Amino acid sequence: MNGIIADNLVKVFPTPDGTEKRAVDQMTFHVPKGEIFGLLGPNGAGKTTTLRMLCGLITPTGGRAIINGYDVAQNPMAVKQSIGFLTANTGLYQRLSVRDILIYFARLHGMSKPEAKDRATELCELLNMQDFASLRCGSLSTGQKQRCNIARSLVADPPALILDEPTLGLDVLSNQIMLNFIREQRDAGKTIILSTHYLDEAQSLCDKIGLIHEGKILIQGTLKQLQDHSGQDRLTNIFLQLVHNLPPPGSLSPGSLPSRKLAHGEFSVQGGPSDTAPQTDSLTTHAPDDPA
Amino acid sequence: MNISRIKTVYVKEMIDLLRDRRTLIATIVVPVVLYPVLMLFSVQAASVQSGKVAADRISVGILHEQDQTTCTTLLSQEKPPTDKTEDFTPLIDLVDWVIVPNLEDAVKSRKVNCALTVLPTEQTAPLTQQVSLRIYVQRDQLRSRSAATRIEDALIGIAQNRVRDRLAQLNVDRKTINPIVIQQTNLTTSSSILGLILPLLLILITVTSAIYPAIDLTAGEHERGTLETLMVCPVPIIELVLGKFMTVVSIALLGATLNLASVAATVYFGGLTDILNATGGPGGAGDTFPLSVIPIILLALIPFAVLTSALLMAVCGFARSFKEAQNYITPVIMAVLVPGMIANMPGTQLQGAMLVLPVGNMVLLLRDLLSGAELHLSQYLMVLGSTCLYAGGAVALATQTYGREVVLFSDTASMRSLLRRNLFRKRDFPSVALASLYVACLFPAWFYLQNIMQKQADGQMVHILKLTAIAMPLAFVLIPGVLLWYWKINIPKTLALSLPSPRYWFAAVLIGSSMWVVGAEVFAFQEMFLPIPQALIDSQAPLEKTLAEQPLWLILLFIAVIPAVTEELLFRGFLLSSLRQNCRPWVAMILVAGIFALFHFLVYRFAITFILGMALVWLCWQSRSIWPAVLAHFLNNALAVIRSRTPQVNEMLNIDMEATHLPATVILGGLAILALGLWLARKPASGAQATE
Repeated sequence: MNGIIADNLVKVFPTPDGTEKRAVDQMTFHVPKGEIFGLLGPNGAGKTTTLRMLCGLITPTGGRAIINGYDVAQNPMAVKQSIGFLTANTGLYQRLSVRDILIYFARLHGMSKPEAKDRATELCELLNMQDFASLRCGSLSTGQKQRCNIARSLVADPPALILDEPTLGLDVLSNQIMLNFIREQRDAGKTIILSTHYLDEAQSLCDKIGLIHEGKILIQGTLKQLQDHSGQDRLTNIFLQLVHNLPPPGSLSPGSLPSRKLAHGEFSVQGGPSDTAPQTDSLTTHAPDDPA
Repeated sequence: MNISRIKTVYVKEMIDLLRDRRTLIATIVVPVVLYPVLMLFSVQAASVQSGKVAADRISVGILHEQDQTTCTTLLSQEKPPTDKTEDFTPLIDLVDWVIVPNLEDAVKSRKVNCALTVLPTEQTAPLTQQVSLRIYVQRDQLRSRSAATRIEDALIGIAQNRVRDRLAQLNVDRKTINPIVIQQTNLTTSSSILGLILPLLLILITVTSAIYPAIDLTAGEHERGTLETLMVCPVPIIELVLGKFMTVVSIALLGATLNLASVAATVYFGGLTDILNATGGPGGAGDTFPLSVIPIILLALIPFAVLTSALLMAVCGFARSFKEAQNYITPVIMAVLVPGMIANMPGTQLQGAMLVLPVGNMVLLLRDLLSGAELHLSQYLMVLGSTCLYAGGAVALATQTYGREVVLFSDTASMRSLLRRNLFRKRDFPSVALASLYVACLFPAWFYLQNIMQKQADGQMVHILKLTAIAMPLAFVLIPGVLLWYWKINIPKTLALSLPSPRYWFAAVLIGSSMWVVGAEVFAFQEMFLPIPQALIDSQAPLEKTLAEQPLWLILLFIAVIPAVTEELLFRGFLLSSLRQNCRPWVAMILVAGIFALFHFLVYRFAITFILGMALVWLCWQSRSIWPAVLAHFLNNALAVIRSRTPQVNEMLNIDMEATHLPATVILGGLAILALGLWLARKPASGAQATE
């Protein structure tokens, strides 16, 4: 079966005090071929852990992940062959040229030397990198590095792309490169899952959205479905409403929700001006943009 | 294992590293330029310094003018030695007398180099008159020591002259009081002096050359944010680690080779020989650096480079930044330095416990190679074999730490989770890392334990056997058992405790009862090029005596039952089951048999224990049960005991104990039985295919 499936994924981490933390709890979703699924949530919600389990970078404590028909636990190499992985802060080998890096990763994906060279040339043309293809990565600009990274993730022409916070910390131009890339890949029929906490970006990019909080998916569906279900217009408000309607998970009480992470503006920067902040009683005194 | 992918990783890492200025400086510039320069400089500085001190004026403390007069009179009688009449400066001209109230304090406070006092003596006839002096010297101070030696030398010369004069007066031949004349020929060569410093230097260079690449290829990837993308590639971690690991080994060896080459060149062309000779004593003719040992030294350094590189990679694999890695590396360097320094102490020999001391044995091997000492094959085997074993353990550890999720993504607390039992998943078999690490640690421990037991038992063979009977189950079964339990590993499966089908029992009886024939013939063959020294044969006498004296059941328990059960559980159980999952059958079998043979610590028994080990591994591999191997091992050892106790058995088989070879009938019969046994075990047990 094509696409990406997470089936009751669970990940438990040990904590320094000897207890355990359920970073991901019973996560279930399905991303059909040719769609973009956005995993949205604040920092520490479990987005990155989920994506790492999908890539086979970490072993799930429970549940299954299936990518392009391969079970990650049973057939990790086939899964790794069918995914491209990218994050905003992925590094490059400073002393290798763009071409060297592309050839290296192509070879690691099982291509022969001539195939790898051809693929590198092809990607350099596709992403318009001929001018700096033979320069060492240490001397490239951020945008050029971003393009090189994108090329690297596409080196094996994978059917699925896993993008962990692909735009985090990027400047406007690099951000634009990344967003265009994601749309083009979707149009080319690839299955894409991305995590972000920029809700606006998700709103404009994703076919389906899953809102996650404390390791659990609160709700998933198209933007329209989410809006209809909650009666709220903006993703920020939908998210906050969902969190507040939940029975208090752990020690979290509704009053303490706009915690340091939320109050620092992950939602507010991209989430619109403060006058659109949720007007529910419990949040008026702790609106996300409230400097307090 | 995909060799081409490992090569891809290797080539990329080599290019990446060699493009880095820091690697070039640490690996090429430092060993090629800095060390020889430092060496020349320090040797020259030392020789200049000691030469200067030897010619300097000296200040001598004295209590009063009367003593000064006595001493001056005495010293003024100094004459130039017969072989050095030109440029002779009498010591008296170089002495500055200083009158001080307290001689000891004056020397201690370095007001004077040394001090002299004249002790009261009886006034007798001129021919028997004696002057008695006391020199105060602080021997740990170069200047004080040198001053005292110069005064002593001068006084000895004067005394000898007086003796000569007195003997002439008495008409006595000098030979009367000199019945023995001793001459010394100094065989110190520049390479034997180098042998004192170069091994430790080479080992340090190998380690330091490996440090930077080891950090760069592990923690460096982490810090640059490239590790995650690498781990997402469809390449098994072991291949990534091997590629990187080979890079680190290459760079370490490159550093060592360049350093050795530049030291050799310094000695060969740079006149270091003269300087070393000047400080270390006269060298013999044709005293040059022994170029022929360089390839042997480099070969010997390979397993050492493997060991340190793997150790460094394993340690750096835990670090997430350069800084963190540097903190982790300090203890590794200490761990390398301390045994290296122990071995480098004067008088240490490459024997006994030193043979298996990690790092230390390599220092001694290199030292002996350089000084031209004759080395025995068993010494090479023990040093290289044990180093390979330690290296194997370290490589296994490196593959285990590299890319582990706790190391990749978590905070420092996660390090503890590596050892937290409640976080372990149940597994059927131990990892190669766990098994090989335990075996690598057990190897020197078992060697030392045997030495301790021999001392404890005070040469009483029965006590040694009894102590071994306690230690073997502990070290070979109990501790691995606890490890397996702690790591939640299926003990019955790992130790292959299930019962086999009857076919394998038969095979075990046949193999176990015929292996001694192969053993005897291998010994006979080996005798041609590796004769057993008489001392070793003699040392076996107490054992033979004990075997004959003690009750048979006790001897069978000590020699046959306990070793058969415990060694099989460790080697064919614990170790084989870990390798079985990760290696090709032949590689696993050869490794297990080789390590089994190495654990017998005797080069003469290596071949025979290796062959026995192969047969036992084969039995265990095919039957998927430990028991046939235990039975065969028991029979093999029991037959040896019985043959040594009851000569009738040998007579029955027409075996002449003095003859080199067994009778042809026995050989053919034994081989036929063995072949039948191996043939019976030719098919793997049902279910074996499915799980492999």
